Amino acid sequence: MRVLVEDVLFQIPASTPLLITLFFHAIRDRHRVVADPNGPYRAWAARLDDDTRKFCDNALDFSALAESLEPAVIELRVVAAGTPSWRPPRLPLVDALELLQRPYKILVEDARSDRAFLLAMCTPEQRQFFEDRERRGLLEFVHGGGVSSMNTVVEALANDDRAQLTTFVLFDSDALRPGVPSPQSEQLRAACTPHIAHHQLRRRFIESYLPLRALSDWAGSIRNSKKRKKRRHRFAALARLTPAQRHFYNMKKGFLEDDKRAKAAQTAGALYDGVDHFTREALAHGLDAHLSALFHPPGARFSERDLKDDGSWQEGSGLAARLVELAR
Amino acid sequence: MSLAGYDVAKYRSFLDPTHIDLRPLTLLFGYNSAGKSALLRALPLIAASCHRNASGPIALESEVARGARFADIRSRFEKGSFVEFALDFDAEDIRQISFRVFDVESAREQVVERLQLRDAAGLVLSAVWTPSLEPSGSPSSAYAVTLRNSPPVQVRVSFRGLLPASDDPGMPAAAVELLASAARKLDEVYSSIHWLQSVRAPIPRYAELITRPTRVQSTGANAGAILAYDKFRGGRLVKRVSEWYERATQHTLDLPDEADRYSIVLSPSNAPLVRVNVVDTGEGMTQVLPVLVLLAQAAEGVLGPSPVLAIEHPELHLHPNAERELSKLLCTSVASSVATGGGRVRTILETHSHHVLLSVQLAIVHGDISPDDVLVYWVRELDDGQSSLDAVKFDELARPIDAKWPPGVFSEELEQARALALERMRRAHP
Repeated sequence: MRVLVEDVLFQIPASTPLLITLFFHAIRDRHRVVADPNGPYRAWAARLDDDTRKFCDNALDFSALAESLEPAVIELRVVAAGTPSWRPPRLPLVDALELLQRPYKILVEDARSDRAFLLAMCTPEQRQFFEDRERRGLLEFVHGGGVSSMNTVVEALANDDRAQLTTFVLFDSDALRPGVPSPQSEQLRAACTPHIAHHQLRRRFIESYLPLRALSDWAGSIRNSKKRKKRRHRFAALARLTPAQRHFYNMKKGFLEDDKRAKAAQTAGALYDGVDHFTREALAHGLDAHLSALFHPPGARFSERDLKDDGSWQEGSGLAARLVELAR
Repeated sequence: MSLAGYDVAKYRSFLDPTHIDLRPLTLLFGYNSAGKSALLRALPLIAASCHRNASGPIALESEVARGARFADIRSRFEKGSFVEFALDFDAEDIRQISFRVFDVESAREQVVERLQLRDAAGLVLSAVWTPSLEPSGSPSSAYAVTLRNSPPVQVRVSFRGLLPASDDPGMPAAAVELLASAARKLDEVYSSIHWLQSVRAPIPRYAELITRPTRVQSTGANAGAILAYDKFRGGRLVKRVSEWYERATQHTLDLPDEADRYSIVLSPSNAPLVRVNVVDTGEGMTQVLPVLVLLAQAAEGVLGPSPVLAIEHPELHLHPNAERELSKLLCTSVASSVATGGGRVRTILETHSHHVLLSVQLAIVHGDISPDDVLVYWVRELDDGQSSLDAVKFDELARPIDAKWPPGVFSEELEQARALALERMRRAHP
């Protein structure tokens, strides 16, 4: 977060301990503090002991350097008095410090597999950023359950401005066909809009981003020959689908499960019209309910090239880049 | 004619088609061994291949090839024996010339397997080699040439290096003209690309100026001779170069009058009578000299209307203060090049210098150069060893657009400094 400190704060002696804490957060928690070093800051810093003054000077220098190539997108203005306001955020010092101590939270359906999905979509530098932030306690993946329970979590944030500013929501579109997310997913998107940063997957769910190479390896990786044959049969059927069909196919539970949604007027439309009977039959029950395990560990089962070939890299790396911007 | 960009494919670690847009200032960043040098050196390699005396369509004998065989040039990630290059031009007629070069292993020769010329409307001429060998065992010069909206004709096309020509009576006149136009463009490419490799050769303590020096060589050779020659002609280049030394190092540069030889000396700005041969100064002072001469030549317009400067690690061995001054000079050169209009100097740098990047960002923020005049490429090695490029553009506040700058790069020092500051604070206030 970029923290702009109003000059007048440096002229209020009682603010000094809190300001020093603010500079401490700048260095430890990688926030960026911006103040005019030749303004009232100068006189304020001159009254500090040598070590503390150098520490605060360093915080300003480090902040400037960090901002040069990796500017934060969330900007917080720290004001001397008044009540907090949030659009844009203008907070008194005490409230600002409370905000700065919060880790950035990424609310996902499944903290383990969605985290692995996101890391798989990262460049090595982005992955290192997320892992480093997690290790330092500056970023957390929060398990939200399914889309419906995430909706409840997000609705609970409606009156929590701090949480809104420091939460990102990542969720499935659960769409049966391109461009038509499920009503539940749309409800969640609406709940996030406009104050909570979020991303609704363009494909159906994270498994829809598994490249064919990873699925092919999965199909052949089981020792039991009967099961292997069954997996390969299903994979071959999946590979016969067009990319659009594959990206919205229910890989976890198959066509039969989706047929149930027809009663709620949710259908794939004409998406699978050209699919032959044998392919439909092979894919009736899905591939496997635990395919998301293939995202573990990132980069082990498929590469950036596979994702590019599969057409998902642009969305995935764009999502990662946006999160990096928000979380720094 | 102005070279606006180039493409490589199936070349070294770049298997996929990879495009480099040449802006007034193009910067290649990346970790060691990511593919930056290969990408930058594609330019002088193509330039050398555009020479009429090149041994083949890929100038394997050239200095930039460093003794490579074709197998060393082509991508090791595919079994095919092809390398593909394309050159993009700011031009009204031919916008792109692309080559696909095939290794005829049995003949130990390479052949242009496909030549394509594109104009604003798309493909205007294509020449595809008809695989066959002459009785001598060399690849034949039989090509199927197709002009836009015309059926292919089977004719003979010869190549000197990459320069095409045809005196086959069956060749349509329009195709002859297009090939001649392409050859002229490639001829210009040969003379417009000025490459400086990363480790520059030592400057001679004393040297004779026998003839007019041609151009700064890739090793930096001739830089001194060019200055010596320039001094006889009014010293505009010497003045420019000396001004930089003064700003960056508080020394002035001169070439004292001597009977039959020249030397380059530096003097402290406040002690002009103290003269030290540049050979006896720090390595940074000599390594930067060819860079300065090249930039001065570009600024004086003596490199032709649209030169491309391809420079590896211009900041080598320089103190950060001098690095900053060199970066400023680069930005000034961009600004003045843009201001003069017409043909533009385009400079592509391979660098690890954060100072260069910060100076460029400052120049953007100050409005000295436009964000559109700068393009940064982050070159990285993928898990499978292939190389990939991410283009980083800047907005008017010099912020990388869409957070394209890789997080953490150039933060190593910052992280160490943070750790140091925290530890000091903990000890001072336990």
